[in-house]
Amino acid sequence: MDIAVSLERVWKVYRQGQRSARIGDLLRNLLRPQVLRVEALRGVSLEVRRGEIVAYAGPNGAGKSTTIKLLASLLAPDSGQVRVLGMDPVRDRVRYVGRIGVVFGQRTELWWDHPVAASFDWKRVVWNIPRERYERMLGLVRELLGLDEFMNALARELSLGQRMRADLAMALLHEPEVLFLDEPTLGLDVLARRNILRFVREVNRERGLTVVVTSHDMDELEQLAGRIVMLHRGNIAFDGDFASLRREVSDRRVLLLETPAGGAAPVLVGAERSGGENGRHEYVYDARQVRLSHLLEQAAAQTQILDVETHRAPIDGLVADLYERWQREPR
Amino acid sequence: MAADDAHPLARLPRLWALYARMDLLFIARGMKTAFSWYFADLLLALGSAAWAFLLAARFDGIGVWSKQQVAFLLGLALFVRGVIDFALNANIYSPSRRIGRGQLDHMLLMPQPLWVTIASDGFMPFSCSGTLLAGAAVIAWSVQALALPISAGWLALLALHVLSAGVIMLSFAYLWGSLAFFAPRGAEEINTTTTRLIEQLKPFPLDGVGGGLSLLLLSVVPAGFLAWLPSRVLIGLSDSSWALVATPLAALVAALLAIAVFRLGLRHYGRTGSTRYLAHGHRR
Amino acid sequence: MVLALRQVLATARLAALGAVLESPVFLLDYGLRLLRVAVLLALWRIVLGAEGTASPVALGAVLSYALLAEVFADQLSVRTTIADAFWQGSIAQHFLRPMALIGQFASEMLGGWIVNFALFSLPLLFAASLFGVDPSPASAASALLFGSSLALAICVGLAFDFIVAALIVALEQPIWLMQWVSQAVGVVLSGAVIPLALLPWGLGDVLEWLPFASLAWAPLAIYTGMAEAPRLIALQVLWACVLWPVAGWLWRANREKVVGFGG
Repeated sequence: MDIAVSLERVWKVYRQGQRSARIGDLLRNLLRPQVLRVEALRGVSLEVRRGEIVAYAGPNGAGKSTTIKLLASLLAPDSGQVRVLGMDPVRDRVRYVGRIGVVFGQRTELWWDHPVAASFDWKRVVWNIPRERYERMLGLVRELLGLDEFMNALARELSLGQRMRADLAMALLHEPEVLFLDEPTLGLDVLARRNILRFVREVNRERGLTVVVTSHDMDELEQLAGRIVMLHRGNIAFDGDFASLRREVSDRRVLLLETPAGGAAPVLVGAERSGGENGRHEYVYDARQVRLSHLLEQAAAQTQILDVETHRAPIDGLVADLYERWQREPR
Repeated sequence: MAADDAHPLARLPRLWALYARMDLLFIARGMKTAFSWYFADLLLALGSAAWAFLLAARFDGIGVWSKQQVAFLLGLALFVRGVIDFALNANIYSPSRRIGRGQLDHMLLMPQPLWVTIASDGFMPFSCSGTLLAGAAVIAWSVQALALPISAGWLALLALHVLSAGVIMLSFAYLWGSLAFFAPRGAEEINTTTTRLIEQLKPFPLDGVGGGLSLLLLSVVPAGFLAWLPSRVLIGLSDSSWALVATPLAALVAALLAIAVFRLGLRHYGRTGSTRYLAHGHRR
Repeated sequence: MVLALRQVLATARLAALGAVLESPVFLLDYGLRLLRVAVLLALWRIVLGAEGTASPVALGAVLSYALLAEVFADQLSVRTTIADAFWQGSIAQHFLRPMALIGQFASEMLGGWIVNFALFSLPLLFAASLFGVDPSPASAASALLFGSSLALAICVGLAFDFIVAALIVALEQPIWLMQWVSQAVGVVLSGAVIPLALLPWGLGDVLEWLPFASLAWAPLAIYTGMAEAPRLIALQVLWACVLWPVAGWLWRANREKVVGFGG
């Protein structure tokens, strides 16, 4: 198995100063500030195969961005080992960053007061990209990300969607082997988001690019990645595919029954009525606990069934439930 | 792999050419940009020199220094500042900002040693050459007014002192700027204070300010090395061999100290990273 | 009125705490300023103490002027955080607060001043004798008039700050560029560093009539008795009356562009 990214028992601890907002505590804040120990990563071990797209998720403060910064060579682990493409990101930084691409959704690598094309040319020189490769990748990103309309606009005048497309394109110009995306679709509209996801999938499929992506949008991650790693308080709480995640959390489904108008809603043991009116009744049930046929039998015994619809609950809702459950757990 | 294996030094000329081209594109974007930029640059140059110049004009010199000698000192101060502006702009000279705003990450993500980025990223020969030219002009005028005998040796001495003063200025900025590694919010603008202070103090002949102050001005805030001591050597007010090597020696010590402290800060940054990031202003 | 005061105090309090909460590093800034004062005072002694130097102003008054300029440095060179708000693209958010824009930025500035004044300016004033400076005013009347003149200096300075901010937007110029210009011009022309009376070629007589002189020269000259108070205060009032309408007009004319800076 060809491993591209490997984290081995990685610990990362921050010390966060605590300050009272009272003027009276000013001197104490300055001379003896209280320090809170924040364990961002607690012995995380993880492997990502070459060519894999891995979604990296978790509630705010779970340690996602810390992991991306460790992988991007910006942070060093307190203990444990980080290896990407066989290299130590911090020790081999110069060689290493020439082989990876990083996009932070809230930051831009573009030169603020220059046209996009100038930033790309800058990248070509600083990353020492051979002309042939540069032209090939530039052609690819121009076409797939539709950059032509704003190649000559100043970076500071781009819309958020345009800026993100340009940043993503720039991260790929040197043809990296691994791409780290930290919330790459933050604040984008649905179309821009879809275009970016489609692009990342395409590059992954065509070039075998390994991608590690963080996001809070679970539907988006499900569309993009085959595997999801979920962090919870600095530990990996789940590592598997999305189907397994659904099974792990609860395989929640929605059942819609249509009955003659004016009749009472059937009472279904094993399902919870979540709404409905005028003969349309909505139920939620856990497919791991109760079978659909059993629910339909119960309903048919109580009234005439005119129509049946069923679908999976959106994964966002499931994950929100999961986060809520985690929040209630004692620390 | 994209990054080359050539020695980092070999990258510098190519990078300077790149940044010079970008700078030219930036300044030539429009007449308004070009005009306002050069106008501001001129005002800044005049503003930094005006105080000492006006005092020297009003009182026919400052202390034991004649008007012409003060003019030479001012020219040298402007020229050294011009070299820094020319070669190390775009906040490279204000590391506390890049560190404090979390924008050091951009530099760390480039496939080259950090020192190569520092030595090239702020190269702005077209938009920031005003002070350099003004300094050169004032030096030329005062050399003539003082009837200094110019020789190849003297020019080499001038170059050595300009280089040393530039290294001291940069080291001073990085020594103080490294504080931002440890206090990103509190020290983000520390370089603004240190630069303003040294800019205000360097165009003065410091003879007679007193022993304690002299010591501070040759260490904590090394304004004395930027124009005063080099000027004393170059216009022949000091001819001891100690005075001759004082500024280059100080540059060496300052550079070593700055490198050590900055590396210490970098190690801290590797442990803590940056918890704040301001999207604007990290690029020119 | 009570609400407005509470708004100002709440904003000022946060601004004051923001600067000092993280670490004591800001105290180093004070150390550097102290060094600056010491060197400037030494330089004045060199310049005016040399044999045969003819100065229209006594050395004591100049030293007092230089020390006061540092004690009231914030007030004599008013700078709000409005340019920072442009810089960070957050100016639009300020329009969403139930408080006048000027009030918001003035309150933030006030917060910063309180800390600096308590931890640097006042101690420096009390320690003046250590620097060999007598910081007492030329007369009791000078001290009283200095208060009014300082208030007017702040008023004119605020107008300047808002005019520069509006010009950044109107002229579509980089923020730092406009700040450079205003600072360079301010330092030279306001008399914050050299008393205008000590400028050569009669320059001071001309500069005194410009609005910049209202920022620093007027209050400091009144305090040290270097110039007549009524004329300087009248000029300050005149410039406040001229500059505020200009600031208001520039802001109204560029309001849409200003909001656009918030993205």
